[in-house]
Amino acid sequence: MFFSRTLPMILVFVMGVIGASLYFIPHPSAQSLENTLSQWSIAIGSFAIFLAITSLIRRYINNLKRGKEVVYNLVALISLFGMALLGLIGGTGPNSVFQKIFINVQVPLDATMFSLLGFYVTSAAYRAFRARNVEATLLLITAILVILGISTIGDSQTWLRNLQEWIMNVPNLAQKRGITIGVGLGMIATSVKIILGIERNWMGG
Amino acid sequence: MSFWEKLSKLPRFWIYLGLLIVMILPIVLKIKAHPKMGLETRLVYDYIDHMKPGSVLLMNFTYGPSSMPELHPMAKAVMRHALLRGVKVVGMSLNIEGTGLGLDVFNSVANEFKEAGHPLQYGKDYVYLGYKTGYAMVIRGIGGDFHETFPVDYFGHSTSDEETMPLTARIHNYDDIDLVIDFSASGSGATWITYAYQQFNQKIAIGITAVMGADYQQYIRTGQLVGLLNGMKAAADYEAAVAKLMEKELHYTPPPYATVGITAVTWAQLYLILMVIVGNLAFFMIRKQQRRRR
Repeated sequence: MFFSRTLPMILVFVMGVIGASLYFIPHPSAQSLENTLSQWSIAIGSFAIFLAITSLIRRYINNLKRGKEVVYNLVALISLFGMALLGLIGGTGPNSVFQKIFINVQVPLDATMFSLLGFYVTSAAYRAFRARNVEATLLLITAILVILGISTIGDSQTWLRNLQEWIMNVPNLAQKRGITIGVGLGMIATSVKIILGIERNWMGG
Repeated sequence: MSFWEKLSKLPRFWIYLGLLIVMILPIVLKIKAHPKMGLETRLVYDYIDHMKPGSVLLMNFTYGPSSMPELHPMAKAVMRHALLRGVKVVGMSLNIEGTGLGLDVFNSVANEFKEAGHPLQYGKDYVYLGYKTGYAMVIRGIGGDFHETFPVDYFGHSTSDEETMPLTARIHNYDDIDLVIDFSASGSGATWITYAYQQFNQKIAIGITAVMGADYQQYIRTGQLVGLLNGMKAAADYEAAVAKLMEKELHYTPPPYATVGITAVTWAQLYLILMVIVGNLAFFMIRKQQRRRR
């Protein structure tokens, strides 16, 4: 109980209070301590990557043992170890095999997956973006004006560009600032709750 | 089934085919746009244009291949511009996928300058640091001690070696970096503002995808950002302006990406608007027919 709950909570409280205080103390010794803590965090981040890769490998191996989606899991494992080996043996420089595979395989695969979104959006807009009521009509007109104003068409149509900039800089900015302030206050409240041990979900519920 | 009902139930295949055609045509035919630079882009352009030769620009790559069409040409154009003005460029990444893309930007631009007859010297004119885990703490760490945060570059050279790496050897913290520009498809821009601007008063600009524009425009008004490169349009604006500079100063024309891409994007946007109008027209006509029947 002490090592699984009490000690982590004490550590979070102490480090949370120190971390938050150092942000506001400009004294060189406080800054030096903050530098050291930030370097510690970077080192801890490296362990997180190690943990993530270990967990991923275990999951793939477990899936293989159960005979679940064998081909996909095998491809993922071979790709993971293959790329790591290529990087370790041949390096990761601009002309290395590692970089060539990244640019010619990973990049087109990833970009293709994301580009499908454009097709789905067009199809969804055609079927669902209807001017059913006043609010939907307003949204529809505003969207069209912003799209046209922000594109190259707005370059030649000054009125359109001015209107688009007004929409973005006045009504849009006003709501965005409200949301940002709300999110900021929410983050502060959650941080305080974690530091004081009121919020304990990070310990697994 | 009436004509309007058929139209409202148009199979996806035809919608997709239409989009494919309007996207591919400008790219295949290399139809270049001649964009007019927007205000937010102009702020970044003017800032870099007025940087003193020898000053340092830190470029951060926090994006993956999914946002590459918008951010990659933008990053290349900014790097070309900085190098043309004698500004030294340092690259880094807070994202694993961004590491390879950042390397590609540095490698491509260095090759372009070599082809133009102005070869650059690695370690003196530009340095690529690569990926560092820790996200916000890396940004905070640079403000404390640059060499402790990045003891070696991407290729394993010591960043404090004055002979081989004079550029990074003179960087100790943000005091030695004149501008940070973050190319991001995530929320890293806000992290740079929180840690680098608020704590160290570091000048920051960001390059983002168009869908993120509304999130970051507020930071220009508050002075927390010197400027904003927003999506493919900004990439095309910047690329066109820098291409003119390169043609004038180096007699070299860099390959166009965003200026062609923006034509495809504009055509796709017009197609999308047309589809929405057609969809609504069908919707109202069907409603009218249903009222008549009643």
